[in-house]
Amino acid sequence: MKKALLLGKTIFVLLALFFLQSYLNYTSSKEVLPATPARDHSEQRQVQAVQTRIGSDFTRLQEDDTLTAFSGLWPGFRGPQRDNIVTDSVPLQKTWGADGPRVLWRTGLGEGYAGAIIVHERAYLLDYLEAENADALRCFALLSGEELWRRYYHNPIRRNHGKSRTVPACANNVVVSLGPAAHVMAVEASSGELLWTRDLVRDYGAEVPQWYAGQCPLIDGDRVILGIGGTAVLLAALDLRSGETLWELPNQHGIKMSHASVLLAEFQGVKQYIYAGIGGISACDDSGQLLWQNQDWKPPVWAPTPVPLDQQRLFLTAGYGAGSAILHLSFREGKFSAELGESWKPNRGPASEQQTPLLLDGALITIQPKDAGARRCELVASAISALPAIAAGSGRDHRFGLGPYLYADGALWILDDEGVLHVYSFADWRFTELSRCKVLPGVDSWGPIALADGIMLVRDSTSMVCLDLRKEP
Amino acid sequence: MNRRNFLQSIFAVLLAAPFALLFRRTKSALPGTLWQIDPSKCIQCGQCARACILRPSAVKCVHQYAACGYCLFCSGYYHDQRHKFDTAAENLRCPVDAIERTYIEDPYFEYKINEDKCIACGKCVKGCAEFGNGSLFLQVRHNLCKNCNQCHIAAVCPAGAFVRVPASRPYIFKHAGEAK
Repeated sequence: MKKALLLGKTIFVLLALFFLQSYLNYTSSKEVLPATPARDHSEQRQVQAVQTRIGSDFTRLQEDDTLTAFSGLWPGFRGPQRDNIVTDSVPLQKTWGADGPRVLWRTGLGEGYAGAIIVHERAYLLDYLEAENADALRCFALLSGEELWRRYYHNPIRRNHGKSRTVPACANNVVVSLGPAAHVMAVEASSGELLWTRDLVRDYGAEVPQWYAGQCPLIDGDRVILGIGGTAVLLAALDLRSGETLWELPNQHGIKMSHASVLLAEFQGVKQYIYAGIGGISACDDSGQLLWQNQDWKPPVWAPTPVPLDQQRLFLTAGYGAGSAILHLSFREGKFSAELGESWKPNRGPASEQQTPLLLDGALITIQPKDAGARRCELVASAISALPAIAAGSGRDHRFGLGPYLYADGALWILDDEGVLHVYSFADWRFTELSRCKVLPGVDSWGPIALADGIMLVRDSTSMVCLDLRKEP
Repeated sequence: MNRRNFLQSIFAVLLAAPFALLFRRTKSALPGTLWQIDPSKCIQCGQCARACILRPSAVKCVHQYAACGYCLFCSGYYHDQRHKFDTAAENLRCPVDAIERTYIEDPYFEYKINEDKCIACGKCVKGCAEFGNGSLFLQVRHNLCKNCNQCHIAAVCPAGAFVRVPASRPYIFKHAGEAK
């Protein structure tokens, strides 16, 4: 009997040990792996290093470039004043029949979001030629759409939410473009002759931002201002005609290139170039001397250019959850300083992911990003004296995605994601829809609009259309 | 009925029972319609993770690769306050590390859902919808769902995103135009 009891106890203990061991062996914590930084094997990542001969190739497509006289001018990103406001517009046709506005021509483009410029009778666009794997500055006859010439260079890049995404700039018969891989090219506007080039990666150690460069070059008089974010240089001024370096602003804090463009503004009577890079915002005067810097607001992706609200405040906004902020500038004893003020998320106030907001008679007008809650993708207006309150919205039945917009002839012209052109009036803090028409077939119509003397160029991801909005062509 | 016939009847019933059960099970597994989530209505409220009678939920995040941008910065993968674009836990939006990221070739990264880990919280779907292409979305996985026709998630879904779909087309794919 004792033996049996002992045997039973032994079996019980053995079974208990067996179950305990099984439990310890099979506990789920065994399968938990540490979430360490390089699990995606990104250490193997090799950015393709291609020796690009910027501007190496040229093709003239029309021998006779005698063009119809046209005096309109939209010479760079956001127009002549870089504010997306046309103050002296010809009267525009704001309502149309069933066929929509008059289409002058259409053309296919490489996939991207690059916007065109208009310089008198010509239009210029930094396109991507899919078949040739090349960035190409294409020159079109504005009213006929005939391509006159293209200056291009081999730049094999892979599709990364499109390829092209910048707007060239033109002054004094020189067009300056900045390509997706940060290749800068200056050509003569009339002939396409190559003047000078810069490779911001090779020459300055800059990093191409995610989804390729989106910065649009700034021409100020006889100089080009570029936000570089290189190993040693943050901003540089180059001579427009020769490309010679005029000055360089040192990059003391390792700020990287963003998608934002350099802002030319005047605060307290001092002209300054302001650049919102990845890691901070900086300003220098027209001799390249640092005026102020602030690193308290650092969105990981920064596309909209800052907007000066008044002589003391800059409106900063960025997408991907960043929201917006106010930067206060003060000027004491001959020195500027910048201090971050109130900041907010897109569901609490005006914000933007891609397009730069528009400042119109004390109203900050923007299209809210997709993370703005109930106002997602709505057109909204805020009084700059009462930020971040939103005073007017287009309403939940009027949403526009990430599309571009500008103000001309007393109306807002908005292109939504799907290529529908909307016209809205804005009066007494109310938006009123005047008309709408689908003018483009495709998607992602995010390229900035160009408008000069009633001729409008808009694009979707793969095509561009030229519209004649003049009341009297 | 004599004893032999009685036993024969019992034996016949026992033999037939598995076939009858099999037939019944087959019939219940292939109803005319099934529950599914309409991605265009889903608001990623998190009810799919909490309300399902299964733990973890039979709803999973799925990835429509054709709509994905394969970006380094995936807003479904990284949360808003990430420090770096790497795979360290502190940067990731998914609370259970259910998205596996693999470097393909510059500049592309692939994002794959580990359904064994996914709890259907919808956080990645929200991030993808707000900033990305919307290629991540929630679907009822019919290999996991009990198909009991008394779906508790459908009863509590605040957006009315649970809809009946034909069993022959049990999943709802996004069209190209909807993938934004």
